[in-house]
Amino acid sequence: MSLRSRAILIFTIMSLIYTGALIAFMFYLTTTALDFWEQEEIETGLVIAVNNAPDVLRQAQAQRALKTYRQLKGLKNLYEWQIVGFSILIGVTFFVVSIIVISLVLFRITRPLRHLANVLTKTSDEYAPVQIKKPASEIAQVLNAYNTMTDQLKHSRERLKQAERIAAWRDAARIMAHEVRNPLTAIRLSVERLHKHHRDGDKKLPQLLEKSTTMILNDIGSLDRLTKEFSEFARLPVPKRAMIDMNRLITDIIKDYESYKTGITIKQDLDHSLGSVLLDKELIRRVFHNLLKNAYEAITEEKGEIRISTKQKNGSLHIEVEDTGPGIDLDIQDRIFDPYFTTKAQGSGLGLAVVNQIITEHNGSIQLNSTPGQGTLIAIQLPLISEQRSGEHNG
Amino acid sequence: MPLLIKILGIKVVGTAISLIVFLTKTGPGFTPITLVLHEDSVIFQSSLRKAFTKGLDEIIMSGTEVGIFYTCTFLERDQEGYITPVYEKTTYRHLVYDPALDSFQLVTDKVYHIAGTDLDRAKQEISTITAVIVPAVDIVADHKYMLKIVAALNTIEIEAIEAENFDLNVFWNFKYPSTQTKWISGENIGSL
Repeated sequence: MSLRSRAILIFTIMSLIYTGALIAFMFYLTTTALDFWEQEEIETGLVIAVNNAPDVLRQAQAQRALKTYRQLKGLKNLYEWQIVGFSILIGVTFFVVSIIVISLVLFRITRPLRHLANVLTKTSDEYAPVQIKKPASEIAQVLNAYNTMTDQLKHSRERLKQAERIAAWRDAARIMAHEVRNPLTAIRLSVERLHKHHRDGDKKLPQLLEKSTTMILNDIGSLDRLTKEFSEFARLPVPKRAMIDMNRLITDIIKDYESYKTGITIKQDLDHSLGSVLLDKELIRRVFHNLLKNAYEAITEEKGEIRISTKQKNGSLHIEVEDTGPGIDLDIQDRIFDPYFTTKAQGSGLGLAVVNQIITEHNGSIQLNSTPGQGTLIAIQLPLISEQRSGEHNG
Repeated sequence: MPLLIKILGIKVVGTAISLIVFLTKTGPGFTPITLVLHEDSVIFQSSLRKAFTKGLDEIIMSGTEVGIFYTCTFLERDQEGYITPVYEKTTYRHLVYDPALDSFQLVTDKVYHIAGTDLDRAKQEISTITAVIVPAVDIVADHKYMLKIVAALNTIEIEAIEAENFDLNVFWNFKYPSTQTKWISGENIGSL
């Protein structure tokens, strides 16, 4: 029960008690005051006075007194009821007015607190901290403290974001420099060697030229590939969902990889009850390409196995890609989906980052389960959206 | 203090019981009207029930004149549906108690004495009304007739509260008791 409801309940009970007490007290006062109008001794005395009056004049006086007494006695009950009715009316009015006034006052008091609670909930959910309009009451102190806190929180978040941006740029710059430096060094060495042999008038220059230019072109190709991958990651499109046959998509992709590396077999464990699912076909295709490429490259042994499975469970699509490679060290597993993080000599560190980004864009989740020496399992969970709701999504 | 609580408790319980009685009790009303043909005249009779409260009894016993106005209207409806009153009269019947003689005096169209202190009998007398409405020859066979009676109490003077015209209808909560017959054809009245 909320603070407001509890306070209203308590005030309602108290008002009821006060109203009852008021009515009872009014009735007690009235009846006590009117008790004089109904005294048997007075009536008996007046009747005796009428019957035993010594003369007509005194009898008339006694009769008049008895008349007045009995008239008032007759009215007593009537007046009592009128006063009780009036007391009840006043009491009920007092009660209703009290409840209305108390409810309004409590509403005014608790409204800023409710607002504060709502804003705190939003702030804790990582929404932007919101300032609250301060009421003119003691609650203002609480809200002042809260507003100061939100100011600090806002600045902290801005500083953190700034720091994260700088760190990301540094990482990117470091990786770019590293990735670019290797082919550049190779190109520079080749050019220097050619220059030296040309200056020395080496007769083997044509052969050397052929060999060096081939190497330079390979390095330029590496640089080109690198910039292409970075560019693709930066321009990852928003998913355009359509109903696709996931099992068929997987089968098609696997065909492309059948002759990728000899000695490695791909095992399919697909849920054939799975119908069409609402996903971006091209983005999901890229996910499987990246995962399969990673799995193939992870298997360094001559023989190995990759297993791909789909399963429909609790309104979600579960996809697993498992390889029999050497696995991933525990201390780097947390960073495996970070952009530009790679353990491969020729890797850009963007493959799994792209996979993670695409799955997140599809409101799904991705998990890594790897034991060094025993292979790696990538588990993806995607929400299953029916054809009926697909229109809503696309709309 | 305990005495105050005790008295307060008794008063509250008493009030609650009285309130229930007050809310459930019915007000004054008439017995069904009896229409009879007597010596070539149409006569009706009816009585008020539950007309006297304890307070009204005390007013009577004080020697104050307590009276009831009976307004009787006899309506005629012709074949075309036009309604006209053929008889309309207000009768005043009152009761006066004399403490010195310990007797009631009931005044209707004629003075009537009731000996003794029988309040109930006096109340019964004042509550019953009988009157001749119209001669039987005035009743048209193919017309229809209806009788309506409304009662009201009189006003009195109460010196103690300086009320010159205290309306006794307050004892009836200003709900004037009334009754009426169904529309009866003249032919049926003739055969009463």
